[in-house]
Amino acid sequence: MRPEVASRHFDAMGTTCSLFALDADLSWGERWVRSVAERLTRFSPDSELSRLNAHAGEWLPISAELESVLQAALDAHRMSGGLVNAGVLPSMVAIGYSRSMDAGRPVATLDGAQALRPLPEVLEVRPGQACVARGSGVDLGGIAKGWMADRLSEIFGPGCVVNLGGDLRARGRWPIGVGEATLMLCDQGAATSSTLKRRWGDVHHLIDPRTGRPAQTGLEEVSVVAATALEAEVIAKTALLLGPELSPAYCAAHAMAWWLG
Amino acid sequence: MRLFLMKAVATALTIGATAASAVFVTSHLKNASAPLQPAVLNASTSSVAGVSVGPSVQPANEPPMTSTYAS
Repeated sequence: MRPEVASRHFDAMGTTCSLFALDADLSWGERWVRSVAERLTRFSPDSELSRLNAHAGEWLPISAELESVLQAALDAHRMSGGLVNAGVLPSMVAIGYSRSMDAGRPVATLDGAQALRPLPEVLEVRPGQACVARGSGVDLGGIAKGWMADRLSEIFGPGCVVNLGGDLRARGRWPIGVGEATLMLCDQGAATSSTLKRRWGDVHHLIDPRTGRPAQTGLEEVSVVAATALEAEVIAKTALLLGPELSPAYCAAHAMAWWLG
Repeated sequence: MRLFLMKAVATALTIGATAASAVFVTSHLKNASAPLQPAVLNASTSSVAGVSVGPSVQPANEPPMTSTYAS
């Protein structure tokens, strides 16, 4: 018999968020998610990330949270061999994804889309400071959601699940849906990367850094279980970008469970 | 003559040790349970409703609390 679990569901970051815990202040958790998301979004010109992008070429002081997520983005670039590249903002603008999907369907042009530069050439981070190269920009997207799920679950402590739009982290043992299966996650994370959502016409938001254009690899959706939500996010996106031939071996080497569709 | 014999024995020992090492290393790599063998494609995975599951994850026998999904 599982003890009573408190839950809280709300919309943030253009998606649905769900918090579950045996003993934690979930309303505080919702406020934390909204507060951090406001700093990390590129859709608000007043956000900390937007200010960093707007002052490309300059070193700017940054908060501890933004510094940690930017370092996570650099780690993700290394982990994925360059396939997960947060310096994707120019391509996002080129495909018309320059505003939240809540604000209406984007208009795709693909003008100016080109292969991305390696993230370490675009983004430099020092303690308390960061600099984005001129002509570039950073979109933290799923990296931010994975990082936030991990961080909030650490704040809540054992006995919680933080699910931020499908990027989730479980502390303790919890039954979690992955694809059509239900798996017992134990201090693990899960994430799904897909070209089926945030899609308009033939264009979607998942950019292949090798072309700077929406990825067309033969896979449409990948779900992964890994040690953390951030790790699962990086592995799922990398597997999707690798395509159906390479992704099974990649997932076997890096994921704890995976579904390829 | 004695010097030549010693050199010949030393050479033979060297060649023998090299050959024995090569045989050992080769047989070691062919052992599927050798620790240096990449376990990537031979990892013990099972399939649960189409999901490939490694040894560190177990299927659950209860409804999911929540799910990962595309957003």
